[in-house]
Amino acid sequence: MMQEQVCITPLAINKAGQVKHFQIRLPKTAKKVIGVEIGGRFLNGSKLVPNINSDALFKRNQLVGELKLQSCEEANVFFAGELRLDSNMAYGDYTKNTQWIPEVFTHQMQTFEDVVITNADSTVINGMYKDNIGLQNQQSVSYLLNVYLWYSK
Amino acid sequence: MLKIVKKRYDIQIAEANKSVSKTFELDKTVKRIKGVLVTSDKDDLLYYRGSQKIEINNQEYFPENYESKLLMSGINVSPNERYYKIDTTNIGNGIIKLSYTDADDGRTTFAAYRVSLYVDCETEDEL
Repeated sequence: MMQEQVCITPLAINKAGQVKHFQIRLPKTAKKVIGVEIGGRFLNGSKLVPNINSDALFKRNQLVGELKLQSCEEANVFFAGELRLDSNMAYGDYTKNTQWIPEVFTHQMQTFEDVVITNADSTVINGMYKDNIGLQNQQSVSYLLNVYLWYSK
Repeated sequence: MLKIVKKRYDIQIAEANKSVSKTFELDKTVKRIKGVLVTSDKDDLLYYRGSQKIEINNQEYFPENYESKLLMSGINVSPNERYYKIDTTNIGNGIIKLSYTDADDGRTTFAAYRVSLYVDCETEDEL
């Protein structure tokens, strides 16, 4: 019977434009990598500069950073993804008014992993993350990035 | 006859930046767990601050630091599809262990809140 499990790799990002190379070690029982999710939270003390176009009807979603993953088993990158802050949850929602605006914690859709299928026999996945929100804010923003790697065994 | 029921298990978070663990016993008529959902009476605190580990019968389904926002569903999601699908068969006298960690990320002000774990179960009538 196939079982799915997730491996979480936390990465602390502290500097603007920081590029972090890392390795994810999977258990020997892992057969295939079947999905990738990215999440994170700001560490205490980080102050984000508001969106420059925050008064506009449609706000720019801030790009927090970019992630790329490569398996030791196969050539080329098997996953490239972005972590973004959703600033437009209320766009086009007629239930919003001056007292209440839909937020991500009330209106988010279900979150699912990005499906990938790649060999995990070598049990080592190489990753690269590049910060962008620090560059946008022109100051270092501290946050903890979580890379969720779903694998089958 | 198989029945589908939704169970709810609560824990209270009274202090900021602390972990709270609680073990819940499932009814013995529960044969299978089909999905889980995490929600709260203060959604924003759960979304920005929460992470949890969920074990069912000592098997880890979501490891420590798994963010709560990944198991939440907003009101934009159809009620029939709000549960995160997992599948456990022959659950027996099931035990769910929920270990929740609150961690400040600067975007919310702490107030005591409730974390609720909803479980989508299949039960069988006792003979």
